[in-house]
This record gives sequence, C-alpha cells and structure tokens, in this order.
Amino acid sequence: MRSEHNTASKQSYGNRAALPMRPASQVMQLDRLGSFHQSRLSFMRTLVRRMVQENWQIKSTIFDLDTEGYGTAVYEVQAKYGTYSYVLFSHYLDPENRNDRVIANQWDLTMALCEGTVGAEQLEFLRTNVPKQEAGRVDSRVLVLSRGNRSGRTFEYVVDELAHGRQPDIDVIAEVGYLYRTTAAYGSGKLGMADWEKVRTKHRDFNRPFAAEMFTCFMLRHFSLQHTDYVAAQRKPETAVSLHNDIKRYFGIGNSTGLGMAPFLINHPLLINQWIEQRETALARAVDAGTDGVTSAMLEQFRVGTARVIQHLGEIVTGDSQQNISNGLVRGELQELGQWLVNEGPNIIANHYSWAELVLYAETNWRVETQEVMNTMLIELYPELVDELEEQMSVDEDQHLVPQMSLADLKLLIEDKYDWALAIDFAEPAAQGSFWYRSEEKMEPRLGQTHIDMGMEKQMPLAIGRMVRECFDEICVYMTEFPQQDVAHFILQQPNFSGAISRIQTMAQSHYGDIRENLVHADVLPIHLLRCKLSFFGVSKFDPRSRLWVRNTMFQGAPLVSDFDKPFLDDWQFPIKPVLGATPDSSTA
Amino acid sequence: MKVSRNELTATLKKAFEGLGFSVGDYQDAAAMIIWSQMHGFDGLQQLQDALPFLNDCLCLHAKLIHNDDHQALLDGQGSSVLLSGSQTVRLACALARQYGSSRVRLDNCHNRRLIIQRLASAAASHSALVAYWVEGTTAIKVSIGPGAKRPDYGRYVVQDAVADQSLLIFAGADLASIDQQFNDEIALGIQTEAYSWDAMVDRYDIMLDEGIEIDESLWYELDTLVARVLVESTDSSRAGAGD
Repeated sequence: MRSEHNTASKQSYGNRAALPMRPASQVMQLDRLGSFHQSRLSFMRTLVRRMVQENWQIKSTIFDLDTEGYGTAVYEVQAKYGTYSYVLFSHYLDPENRNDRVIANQWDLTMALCEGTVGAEQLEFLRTNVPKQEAGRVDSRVLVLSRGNRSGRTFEYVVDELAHGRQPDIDVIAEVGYLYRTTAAYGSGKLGMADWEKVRTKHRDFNRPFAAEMFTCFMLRHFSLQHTDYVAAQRKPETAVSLHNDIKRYFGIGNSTGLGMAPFLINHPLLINQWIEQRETALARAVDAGTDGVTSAMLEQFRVGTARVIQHLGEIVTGDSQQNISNGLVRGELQELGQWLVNEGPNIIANHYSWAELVLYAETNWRVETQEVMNTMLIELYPELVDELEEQMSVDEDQHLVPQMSLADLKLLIEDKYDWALAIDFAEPAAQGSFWYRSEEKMEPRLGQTHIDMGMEKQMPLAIGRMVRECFDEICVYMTEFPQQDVAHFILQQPNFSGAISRIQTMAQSHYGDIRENLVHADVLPIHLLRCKLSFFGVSKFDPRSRLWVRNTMFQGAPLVSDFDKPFLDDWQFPIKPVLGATPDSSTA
Repeated sequence: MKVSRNELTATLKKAFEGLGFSVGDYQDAAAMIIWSQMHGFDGLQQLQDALPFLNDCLCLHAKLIHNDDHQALLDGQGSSVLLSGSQTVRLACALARQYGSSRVRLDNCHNRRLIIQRLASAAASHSALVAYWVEGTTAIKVSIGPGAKRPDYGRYVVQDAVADQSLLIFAGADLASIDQQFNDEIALGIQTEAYSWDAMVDRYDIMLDEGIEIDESLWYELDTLVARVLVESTDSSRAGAGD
C-alpha cells in the first residue's frame, strides 16, 4: 500500500525534500472524509491556541438579565489586534417552539459578534434585528450572527442541582455534553454582515477560516456557563453554588448540522482541497518524523492518547445504532493497538519500528474510522511540526479556464484526474436516484428522490461526477470533427460547459482535487460531507440523527476564559469525563 | 439598502440561474456585475438596464462567424456581454497564445462596459488585453497588462459617431505590442475622461468596508428571479432535510 503513496510531492519542510503524502484516490473517498476527526489544525483548536497564547481579555460590560435569566448581555473582547463586542439576547421560548432546524424562527438565545465597542444606538439596532436572525438585516460592523437553544435534558437539571447546593452528576452531563446548542452561525457577509475579505484583511484576530464563527460559539459556551450559575443563584440565593471548574470545562456547546453545510464542500473545492492538503501534510510530517524510530516518551504519549480515545468513544451516547456499532468496533481496534503498545513497547523502540509501519498495518487490518482516529493521534504527537500549518488554511478560490488548452490535452486531463467520475455508470437508475435542491423555506438545501419528489428541474449543480461525464462525452463528439481544436473554440459551440471546464482545469492543478463520490446516487450519505467539514471545525461526539443531519459538541474540554492566563497543554481533544479535584485549579468559580 | 459583496454575489448567481444561465455563465456574470460596481463602473445600474432584455434573451451566446488565424469575428446575437463576453475574451487569449497576438470583434452585443472584469480576469492568467468600443459620440479604451489587477480606462471623443454595437478585443503577451497594434488600426480622439487605478481601489475599499449600496427595487427584483430556482416546500420535501 505504501507504494501507492505520492512520494513525488513537492511538499517540503525543514531539510526534508519530499513527504509521503497519501494519494487523492485514497483520501478523497467520501467514507474516509466522513471518518475524519478533529486535529491540531481544526479551527476550534487553532482559535483556542491563539486566544490562550495572546491572552485575550474578555469581560462582560452589560449583564442585564432578569431573575429567570432573560435580557441582554454584552461582552467586550480585547484581542491582540482589535476590540470586539459579543452581544447576546436571551428570550423566553415556549418549549413547543424550540426547533433546531434552519426553518425555525424563534430561539432561546440570539447573538452577534461585532467589530469595536457597541454604543447605545447600535445596541438598539441589534436588539431589533438580531433576534429575527434571517428575517432581520444587520450591517458590515457585524462579523457573525448566531442563535442557540437550551438543552431540555441538562439546563433545568443543572440549574436545579446548583440551586440546591449540589454539583450535577457527571454521568448525566456526559449524555449530552452541553447546556445550549447552536443551530447556525452565519458569517461571510450574509444578511449584510462584513465580507470574509474584510474580516480576513482588517480583523487579523479572525483571519483564519471560520475563526469568527468559532469564536461566537466559544462565547456562547462562556455565556451558558455564567448564565447557569446566574439563574441558579437567582432561584435559591441562600443555597446555590457555582459549577465546579472541571465540570465547566467538560461542558461544550451543542451543535446541530444539517444539509445546509453539504453544498459548501462542493462549491468551495479549492478551499476544501487546501484544508485536506494541510491535514495530510501534517500526517505526512508525523509519519516521516517517525522514520528513524520512536522514543519511549512518544510511545507512552501515544499509549495514553489511545486510552483516552477509547474512553471518549465509550462515553458517547447516541441513539444511532450504526454509530454505536462503529464506535464499538473502533474501540475494539484501538484496544488492540493499546495492548500492542503495552506488550511490545520495548521491542518497538529497540527495533526502530516506524509510524509508517503502523499506518500500513492499520490500513491493511482496521476500519477506515480507526485509521483516521489513529492518524489524528499521530498528528497530535508533533505540535512543533504541525502547528505552523494553521496559517495555510486559506486560499484564493478563483477558478480559471485555460482557453488555449487543446481538447486532446483536456481529454487526457479528465481521463487522468477524473477517472473516478468516468468510472460511474450514470445509465444505472440508482446512479441518478437523488437530486439536490433549494427549498423556498429559507432556501434550505434538501435532497430529493428522482421522479418522486418535485423540483428536479431546479436541481443544484452538485453532481460533479455527472457534470464531468457529460462534458467529456461532448468533447469526444466535438473532437471527431475538430480533433485539433482548443477549449476556446469548443466553448463557442458548447458554452454551457465553460463552468465544468473551469473547474476541471483548476482542480487538476490542486493536490487532492474534487471529492470522489457520485453525490446524486440514490444511496448517497450526505452525513459524510457534514462530518468532514465538522472535523475541520473541530467538533466531537458525533450523534447522527439520520443520514441527513448530525448533532455534535463544540469546545467540550476546552479551557475556560479564566484559564487563558494559566499554563496550557493544548490537549483537550477527545474530551472525557472529569474526575473532580484531579487538577490543581479545579476549585469552584 | 446596503448588502455585502458575498451576499450580492450569492444572490446574483441564483438570479442569473433563474434567468436560465448555466453554471459557468452565472459565475462569470455575477463576477462582472460585482467587479464593475465595486470599481466604479455602475455594474448594478447596467444590470437594472439589462434585466428586461435578459428576461427575453433565451441565453444566446456569441456565434463564431469567421476565424482566420489571429483574427475572428463573432456575432453577439443581440445578447448581453454577460453571456458573450467570456467567450470573446477567451477566444482572443487562445488565439494570442497560438499566433502571438489576436484581434477579435464581437458584433451586435450589449452592456459592453461589463467586459472590464473579464479583461482583468484574463490578465491574471498572464495575458495583455485592450478593449475598444464606441458609445454614441465617445469611444472607450480599456487596457490591462499581464498580471495587473486593475485596468487603465479612458473615454475619447469620436469624430464620426456611428450606431455601432460592436466590441473589439486585442490580446497578446505584452501590453506595448498590442497597444501598437491598436494604434495602427484606431486613431483615438481627444481624451475626455480617465479613471485612475487609485480611484478604483478607493471605491473598492469603501464598499468592502461599508457594504454595497443597492436600490431596494432592484434587490427585490433579484429576489423574484432567485425564487425561480427554489422549490415549493411540502411535508414530503421536509423529509429531504432530515425531518
């Protein structure tokens, strides 16, 4: 299997000329992308590193809530390069109206991240518009708009326990992992907000992809912890206690992600390629660093990490039987790994065993998800080789058509780079059994069944494989008459293929290219697309609710704002239940 | 009202899709409008003027009438540069790569000012381009060198006004040689207006920072076009979102 790896890659670092990058044919399979887990390069991880390293100062300037916890909160954020305001409105919401779908129009909390400080006039403007979310309008001073709903399972329980002077049961918290969950975080210029280019160039604190959106979710977590303490204290001031800091760290923010995220991966192929290329570079650097053998300290770190992931997976509660089975199988294979590390540790060191051999073993013997968990753990071992890649996650997304390219060359290019698309038999009914469309309800992307659901004539152009096939076939027909012709002349005759050719020529220059899947197959699993993007966000505890949407947890295990000025290990991945009092700073707040 | 660039881009793409544009066309068309607006060339006004015609245009593209080595003649079929502009510039660039330089004329086309974004895009791929057209009594010349981001734009007096809906594109590897080619063919009158690169950058920065002003009636008109690509929501369709 190693012989397939692309050792001709131009990736380089330090004095290493070439790295063993995995080939696109392996990495860009949808089931593998859907098995990715968060890594050191995930956006939550990099944001937390930045906040802690730069010791961002976050203080509430307005905390105007009534005894039930409804009202307004404003936090001022002093980051390295600028000042920002996080403005939050807490509303009463009838539980009957609590809905995580994008089509909802009421929420428990609505919030906005703004540039600079917010004055009284702007606050009133935000109070009018932010609670409306998509039905409102904001302006370019706003970077992110978001909302959240409280957890029906934990919020009241935790408040009640604290009000009575008790800490909540960790096992109850472990089943959910959060007090509030966010259902959307809009940025990049939506609803009148600041463009991504403005954020990237004028607000350097958030110049990495989705950094402002992730920060908004982090602040929701911060508020949710303060809010819970506050409501408990209001309810029974004579007995109430604050949440234990270790429990606070174990609370994340819930997230529900549906199909809306899926088209993003198809419509931003260069960006996705960039993210994957950086992650693969990180893995290649880790594997390469182990070429000459691994040390006992590193082996011990790897063993501890393995045990942690086993515990983490064992603590996930999901009603999805497939996910449960998968978690169990991955745990079993990781236990095999852990046992091998214990039993063979001395031999591994003495025989100069390399990570490459372990990766090869995993690829041959273990499930794809186990392989990707292990890859994440390998990346974790080498922060000094990996972390600098966090600055490489952005890319110019322009696609350029090369009009002078001969059709003969373009045909060869498609045969080489899109062989996976040409291998799909679109004459098979199941191969076109689905279609993607936008609903009139908030333009929500939906997946329809061909010849059953309405709207096929308005389908979104997400079937890249089919588009390539159609383009290829037309080129072949055209070339029978004009074999020497170029792309410019072909497009004069077939103008509707200019988009396809732009994409093909552009992505052919990239390292990993397009996702290799027929996304209109009857059995397509969009949840893999969601999981791929969510892994780059840095979420954990995937809880699929169907093949179309997934619940997960953000920032669970991350440092608290009050931890920013303390020593930081950056090891909050794969969160596990805390043992109260196990850390030096585990006192109650 | 003000909208962001990303928001306007997304709306324009869907609106053009609603008009029947294909993927490549609606991406290029949205880019042309946005670029023109943000650099001071009234892209939104041109769009507003063009929409009644785009509704009836059947998405006609340019048709190749004649191609003799480095020269070509295209018929825009009365359509907008939003549909024929990309084809024209790409043909000019392809011929220039093959023959060293090229001259392509697109007849019978509209909204020619929108071509400037396509020139800037082609320049990013190391082509030099000059575009020329006549609007009543003034002629417009736009030139851009390989790798440059923003073009030189000038308006000139035309002595003999002609009712001409053509657009002339010269392309080559360097700006000096195709400028010479242009000057050999066309004698410009007195320059009446020049628009500097700095002025374009200033406008762009302001709109990026504060948003793009758009007439509400145009915004709602675009919304109605966007609605054409949306599908009615039913209980069954909600199942396709995970319900």
